[in-house]
Amino acid sequence: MCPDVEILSSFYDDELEDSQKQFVKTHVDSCPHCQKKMAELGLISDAINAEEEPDFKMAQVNTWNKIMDIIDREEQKHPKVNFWQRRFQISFPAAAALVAAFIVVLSLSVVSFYMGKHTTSSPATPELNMTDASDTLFNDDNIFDNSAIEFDIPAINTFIHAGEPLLIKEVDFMNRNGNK
Amino acid sequence: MDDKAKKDYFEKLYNEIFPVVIKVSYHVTKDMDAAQDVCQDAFIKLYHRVDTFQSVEDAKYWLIRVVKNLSFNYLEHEKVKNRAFDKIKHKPSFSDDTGEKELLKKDAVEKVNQALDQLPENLKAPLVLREFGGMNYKEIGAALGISESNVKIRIFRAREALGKLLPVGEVYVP
Repeated sequence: MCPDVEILSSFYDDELEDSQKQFVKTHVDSCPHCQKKMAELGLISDAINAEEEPDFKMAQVNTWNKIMDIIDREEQKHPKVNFWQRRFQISFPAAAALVAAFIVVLSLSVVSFYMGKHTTSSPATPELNMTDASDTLFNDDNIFDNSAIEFDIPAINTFIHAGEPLLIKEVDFMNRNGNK
Repeated sequence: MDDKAKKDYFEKLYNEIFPVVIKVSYHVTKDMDAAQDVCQDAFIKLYHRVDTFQSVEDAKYWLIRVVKNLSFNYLEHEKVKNRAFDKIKHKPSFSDDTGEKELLKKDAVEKVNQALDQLPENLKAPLVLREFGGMNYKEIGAALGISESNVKIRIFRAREALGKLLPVGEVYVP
């Protein structure tokens, strides 16, 4: 059975894998029909390549010169400048605004520095004396003592949930008791 | 990459790729001046991004794709122009030999060019890269962004179409 023309086309281009290539070659050598197909593929390729080609070597040199001219002109027009050698342009109002902002920031920082110094020299807040409570709760004798610790809970029932504003709770309380 | 290294690398790429792309562009446009302009534009584009390619192959396939697209764009533009103004295209010059063989050859070239012009771009591009660019299926696939098996099918279909447009025996083959 003859191979597909698609396979013959790949065989003509030497694009078949070695095992397949050998199989097709053996077949074509003994099949007049496939030999004719191969000859047709050859004729098409010859017809495509029959045209006399221009001088591509000369074109290579000419095009290179033209490309280099264009690139040189582009680089002269827009030369590459190092970032630190770049010149920046800024309008007068923008420059004045920048200077004014700098002065404001500087003066604010000086003022806050002196104010900070003044605050540290003020009398320190009184320290809470926690020594009594810690002595009672955490002294060595009580740590392993299983006896219950008693706390006195304040005798009030107007607890406020943590995080809720006092004012609202007070109003609610008044409403509940008809004290509006 | 400094300027000197960039230019050296670009020159290396140019010398390696130009012989392929000029042939491809010429056989698509059938106009040497246009082919040179296409290659010039493509290489200038390449120069501006030469340091973005991982390898010579990447740059080569990218450039072939650009040249192919620019060439087909030119061809399309020319077709529209020719339809409107019936402009006579510049053809490559032949030798002064006006013998029978030369006439037959001229006629054959004309017929082949007409047949190639009738192929759609997706069949013509792989065939041109194969026949004139001397590229294998793998390279053509990489350049056109299609699979190797797709290249195989397209080249086969292009040949099949040409075989119908150019019946064997009717075209003189030197």
